[in-house]
This record gives sequence, C-alpha cells and structure tokens, in this order.
Amino acid sequence: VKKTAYRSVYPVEDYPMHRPDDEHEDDDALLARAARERDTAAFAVLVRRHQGAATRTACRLLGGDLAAAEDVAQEAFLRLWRTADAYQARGQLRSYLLRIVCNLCGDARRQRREIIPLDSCAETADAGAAVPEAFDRRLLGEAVRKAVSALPEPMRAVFVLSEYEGLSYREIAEILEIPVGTVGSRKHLATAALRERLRPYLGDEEEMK
Amino acid sequence: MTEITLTCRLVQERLTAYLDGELPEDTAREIIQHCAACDSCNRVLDELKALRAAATAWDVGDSDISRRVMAGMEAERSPEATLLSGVVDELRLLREEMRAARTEIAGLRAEVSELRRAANAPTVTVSRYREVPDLMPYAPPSDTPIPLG
Repeated sequence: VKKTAYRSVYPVEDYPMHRPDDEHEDDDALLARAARERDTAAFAVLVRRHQGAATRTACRLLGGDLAAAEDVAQEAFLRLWRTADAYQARGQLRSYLLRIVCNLCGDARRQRREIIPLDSCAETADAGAAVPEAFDRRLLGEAVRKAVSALPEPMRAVFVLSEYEGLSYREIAEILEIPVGTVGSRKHLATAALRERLRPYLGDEEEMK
Repeated sequence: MTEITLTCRLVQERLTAYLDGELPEDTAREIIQHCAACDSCNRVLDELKALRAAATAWDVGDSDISRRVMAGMEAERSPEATLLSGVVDELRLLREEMRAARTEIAGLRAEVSELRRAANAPTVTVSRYREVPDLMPYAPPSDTPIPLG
C-alpha cells in the first residue's frame, strides 16, 4: 500500500485562527461545536482554558515529572478531541478532562513502576528538624513533593485535586468515581500522613512564609 | 474523660473537612467553639493550617502545551487532509481543462458566426430547397392524389 506523505493544510504556527468571541463561550458549547464541525479553533480555546489544571495535576500525580506530565496532558486533550462526540454536556468538562488525566497518570505510573521510598522522606525530615529555619522555600517544596509522592495513589489523587486545584469533595467524587464520603476520609488520611511526615517543617506558620 | 477524648477524636477527624469548607454551617460552628476551648484540638488545627501553607511551597508552574496539542490534532487529521488535498489538486486540473475548453468553444463560435454571415450574403438568391429537394422540411400540400401501386 502506497502511503501518501502528509502535507499540512495549515502551517501549525498560524493555526488555528484565534477568534476572540470564542473566549466568552462556555465549555460545553465549545466542545459541541468542536465535535460537530471539527472546529479546531473552538477546541484550542478549551485547551488554553484547562491546560494549566491538566498539566499541574498530572505533574503532581507523577511526582513532579513535568515532561511526563505534559505528555499526559497532551494525550488527555487528544482523547477528548477524539471522543468529543461521546461527551454528554453537563457543565463538567473540567471534571471529565481531569478524570482522563488521573487515569492516564495511573497508567503511566504502572508502566514506570516508580515508587519513591519513604526512607528518603524521613531522611529529609530529620535533616529539617535540626535546623528548620535554614530551609528555604525550595527545599520545603522538595520535602512536600517527596511526602505527597509517597502517599498511596488514591489518597494522593484526592489530596492533589483538593489542596492544589481547590476542587470540592463533590467534584473530586465525580472525577475519581467514588462516594463523597470516601473523598472526605481519604483527604483526612492524606493530611494525617503528611502532617506526620512533614512535622519538622510545621513549626510557626510565619516562619514557613 | 472518655467522652471528652471521643469528642476530640471526632473533632480532629473533621478538621480537614472544616478547613476545606465542606462542613455544614452548624457543625463548623461547633468545631470552632470546641477548638477555642481545647488546646489539643487547637494545636492540631494549627498544624493543619501550617501544612496547608507548607504545601504551597511545591510549585510546579504552568505549562503551555497548546501548540503541541494542536500539532497532535493536525497529525491525527492527516488521512483526511491528504484526501482533501488530492481532491483539491484534481479540481484545479479540471478548472484548467475547463478554461482551455472555453477558449476553444469561443473560437468555434467565432467561426460559426463567420460562416453564417457568409451564408446570408445577398449574392445567394436561389432557394436551397428547390435545388436540393431532399433538404425540404416537409412535402407541400397537393390536390393531386398520390398514385397507388
């Protein structure tokens, strides 16, 4: 079978055309148009609107690996583009997208089998306990990254979506397809575990800033 | 003593939900009142607030992936786009052929007009029908009966 070389109809740099009116349309209307007319400009608005949440969430679920997170976020948007016809408009596109992101992160972690040993967190915490005031924000961030990454996956997802994306328990329940009560208990367990691991850093709140 | 401990345990279990704004108003009020009176629970509440502040230290920044998403969509569109560009090429060829055909037709029309003018010239006076009877469109009516047999 002769394969025809692909020739782009538009140069990617100038594509898609930016239409300012699209910025005021809601997610569902844009996705419906993208699905119906294969309107890439409408879809581009959705990408710009939600790429931050998708990439940040993926990055935190993948232990801070930004390159892997960008791959996951890109794949999530491409899946959304491919299956836009199947999306049922209920005003919850962000939740729908983040569900795809969480599932893809689960797959990515299973493939990589990357487990961050708890010991490494404990070592950092001990070091912090000796001279807590010497830790700058970057080191604190690194300690938090390790501690959050060491949480069991179900707790980590709840913690990241709640703490960093500010989603309500109901939205998180929708994304992870679990009861709202389970979200609450996982968040409680996650914070209890983090409180334990990061105790050396949780001194005076003013010092943290 | 047991009652107080149980209450503290229940309060501490709800402190995270309280900070997340997930508790009903009356329950939240009870939590505030309890923490104001209980050092142990108040300390846990402070630690949870400090944890929340510490968590923000892990900043992953924002990435712009819109171009790579668009490039991925473009690549996935390739079979359609290839087919489309083939059709466009074919239409372009057809348009060229139509232009050539139109020029040829215009030339033929000019030739026909020239011939018509020549045919209608006043020098030709004899009816073609009399000279060439086969070209008569119909037989003129006649009183003479047509012989049979």
